Amino acid sequence: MAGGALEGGSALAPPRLQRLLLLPALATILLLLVVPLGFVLVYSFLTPGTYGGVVREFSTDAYLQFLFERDLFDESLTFNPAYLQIYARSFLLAAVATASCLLVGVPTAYFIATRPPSRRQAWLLLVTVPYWVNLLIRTVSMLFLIRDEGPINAGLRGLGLIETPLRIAYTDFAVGLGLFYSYLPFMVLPVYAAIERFDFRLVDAAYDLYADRWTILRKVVLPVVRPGIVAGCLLVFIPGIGAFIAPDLLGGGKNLMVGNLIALQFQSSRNWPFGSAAAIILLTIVLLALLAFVRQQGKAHGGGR
Amino acid sequence: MRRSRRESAITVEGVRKRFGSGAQAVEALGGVSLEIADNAFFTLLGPSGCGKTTLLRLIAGFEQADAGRILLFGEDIGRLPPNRRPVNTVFQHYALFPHMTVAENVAFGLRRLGRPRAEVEDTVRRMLALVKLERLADRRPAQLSGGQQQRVALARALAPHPKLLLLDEPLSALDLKLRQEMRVELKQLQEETGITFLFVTHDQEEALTMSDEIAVMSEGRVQQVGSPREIYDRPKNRFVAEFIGQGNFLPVTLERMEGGEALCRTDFGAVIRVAAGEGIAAGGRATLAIRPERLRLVEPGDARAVFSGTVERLVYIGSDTDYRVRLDDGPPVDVRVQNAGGEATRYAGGERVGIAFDPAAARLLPEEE
Repeated sequence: MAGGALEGGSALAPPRLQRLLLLPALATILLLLVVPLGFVLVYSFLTPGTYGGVVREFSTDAYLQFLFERDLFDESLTFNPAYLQIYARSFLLAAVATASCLLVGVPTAYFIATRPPSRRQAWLLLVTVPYWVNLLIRTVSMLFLIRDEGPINAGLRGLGLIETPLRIAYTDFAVGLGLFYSYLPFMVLPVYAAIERFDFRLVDAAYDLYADRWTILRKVVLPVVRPGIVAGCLLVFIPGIGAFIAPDLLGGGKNLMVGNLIALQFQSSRNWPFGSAAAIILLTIVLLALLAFVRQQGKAHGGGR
Repeated sequence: MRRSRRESAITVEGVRKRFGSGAQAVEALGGVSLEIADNAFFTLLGPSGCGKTTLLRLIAGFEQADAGRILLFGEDIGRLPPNRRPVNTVFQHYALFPHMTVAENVAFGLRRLGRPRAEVEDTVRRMLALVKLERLADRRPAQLSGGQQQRVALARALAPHPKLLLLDEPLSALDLKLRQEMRVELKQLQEETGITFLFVTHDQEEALTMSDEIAVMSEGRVQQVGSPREIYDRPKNRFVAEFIGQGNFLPVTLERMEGGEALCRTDFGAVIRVAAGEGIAAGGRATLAIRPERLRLVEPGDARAVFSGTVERLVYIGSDTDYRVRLDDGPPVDVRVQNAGGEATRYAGGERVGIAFDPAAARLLPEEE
């Protein structure tokens, strides 16, 4: 924004020392992200061991298995869309959860950001309340709520609205609901930050220049707060695709998402190379999607900042 | 351009506005009436909290008056929302759209009015030329200096050719040098475009240099309306006299009226003859107001001297020297002497001096309750 870049804190730490400030973070990333990711990449090109682990023998089977099924007898390959479907379902569910978070999160963020500054902290604290409880516990309680014998179905049946219990638990709907609920604060917080910084005098200016409410929203408010909305969407969508707990508990492990598929390979299936390949494929797709998105954003802004 | 009887661009009739309710209600405007001539540079001048910005927001349409009418060229616009009023505003902090280029900012109003593309482009070009920003058309506001942003805000508000341009302390965020340049430019811009400017400021110098007419406001009321000269030379009351320029204020008792003149006695016993204004009657109390530059220092005992006193201190400020003289048995007064000849610093601290002035230069202000 205005004001130019500040060489902040140069009195506290000279520029040469300032670079050292990044060292702990870089070391953490290298040790806990880059190195393990390297292992995953290498493992995806090895042969599975009988009891888990890998045998040091190069193979592209893991990637072939993603798209094709190898016939046990003549070793011929036939196309198998099962895994692709899991990926497609993951993207779809994450997208639906993101859209729901937008619908609920943006008005919430707007509400909080337009409160008097002294009250905003309290509202923000309330947004983070769910995080005081472990995600697993929250997801299990959700399951209690929506299962066939749960209070929702009992209530509806008690009111005579339904005879057979509504099938909510162990459906894609339940998984979507779980994702939506788990990641909602990730939408609220960045959008709040963007709206809180928004200069509402711009609304007056646009109103003065003959814009109606809808035009003000579309041409002034949304473009200015868009970075916050984009950040919120990414923060919900990306972890949403790889989510593990919600689909496992609420989907009953029947309709797999990518996270479950990967977990399965490392646990019961003991096919580490395939699990690694699935993870690498997911990472590649997400990175490509992000790249395309960033380029498209750049174009929409005419190369501006 | 000057017509004998100028049409009124905006007429404000008995406008009242209060904010809040119950015991916490604050009266921002307590019955304001004003008439602003077409093609005038009109200034609302007053200290912060005097209601000038509220009046501006009422005319722009951001607030609604509790009572009274606002007429734009005879048409009541009081109930119209801002986007239906042919009135544009230059905001105090410019409020430029940060995600749009300079040209897009200027085009914003024209686009909303549905003007054809060619016309929009043409007008934007003309407006940018008017404020000398043609070369920065593709920049974003964040890449401009404060003065340049100010010009964009002007071009943006002028582009739809409003019937009235409102300017809300537009120069207050600029540094002194730029502010002085912009005063001249604003005045030129008003004359070139022929649009009526309603300018809000708390800076009396700004008001005096640019305006055709000034309304001095205080505590939600208009204290005086007049040309800069009238406001400065013939302030109606103590507030106006004190707010615009500097002044010496001496409480006096009115002894006798003689024709248009009043013979008055100061509390420290000096007797002066000055022109009487309205609301002045013999026997009453009044305040004698006189500007420091209207007082002259003379030798003590000079026949022209009205008061005599002792120099307390003097401050040399370049073009002038400011003296503070303690009157004999009376209060101190400020005297400003121009450094035209050598006489400006003729008197030193502690010296006896006489003070002379032309009776026509003093004003008698009615006593306020």
